[in-house]
Amino acid sequence: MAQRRHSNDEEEAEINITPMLDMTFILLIFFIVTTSFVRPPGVQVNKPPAVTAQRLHSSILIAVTSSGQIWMNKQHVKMDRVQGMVEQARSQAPKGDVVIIADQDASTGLVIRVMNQAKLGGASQVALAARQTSGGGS
Amino acid sequence: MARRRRMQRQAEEAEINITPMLDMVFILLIFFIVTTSFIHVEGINVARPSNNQQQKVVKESKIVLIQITNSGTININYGGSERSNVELDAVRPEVEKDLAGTPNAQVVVAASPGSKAGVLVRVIDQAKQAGAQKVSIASTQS
Repeated sequence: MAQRRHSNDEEEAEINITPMLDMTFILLIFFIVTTSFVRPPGVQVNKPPAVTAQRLHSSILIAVTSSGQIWMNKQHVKMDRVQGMVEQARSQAPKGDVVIIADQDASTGLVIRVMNQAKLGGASQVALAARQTSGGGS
Repeated sequence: MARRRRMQRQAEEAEINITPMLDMVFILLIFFIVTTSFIHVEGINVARPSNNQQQKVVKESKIVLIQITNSGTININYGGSERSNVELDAVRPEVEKDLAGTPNAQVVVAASPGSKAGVLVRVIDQAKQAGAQKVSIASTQS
């Protein structure tokens, strides 16, 4: 009797894929929700420390290196192209705010000019990136 | 005859073929896994910096002006009192002192183009620590 059931099972042997499907869907939804198409600027810069730094939800990153180069979207861009690139990025992510990742030793004049260009490109909010440090240290 | 039999058999074990859907779901899943970049940027928000045209300041006395010179020295000007050569760590207590009288005074950082961005960020940080809600950047031509 029991043997017959066994052979019956084997006849229509099928792996139950329902739990795997459930898991796959959950993973899919998780990745869809958390994906934020942030494009890294492509250079490593030495960010200045700040106690009041907070997490920013921004999608347009512009890096300014100590040697005065501007990097965006993994390419080296000229000052007069920043506005266009910000406009283009904002057309893809209309809510995108701009974060300028300036090196500690970058010149302020350049940073402010990039900031002005980002504003001209339509960015409503511009932030300066900083390294979060705990209070106390300078 | 043959057709009818086949239809009957199909109806018996009626099942939606989910294989293509599964393929698609897996492709989507892999796409999202690959493209997800968990980049979190930390930083400080800066109130709108005045564009090339300097904003006309209505009430000078309501503004704590912090100047950073090319060489990195910091001058603070509030009302009539002007303090020059302020240490970086001393910016916070100085601004705190200024804000004690007028809590909603605006803090403006005027950095000369040759100064370092690190100093600028640290000064803004100090001002924010002192309780300034909005810190804006002004560009100076000199």
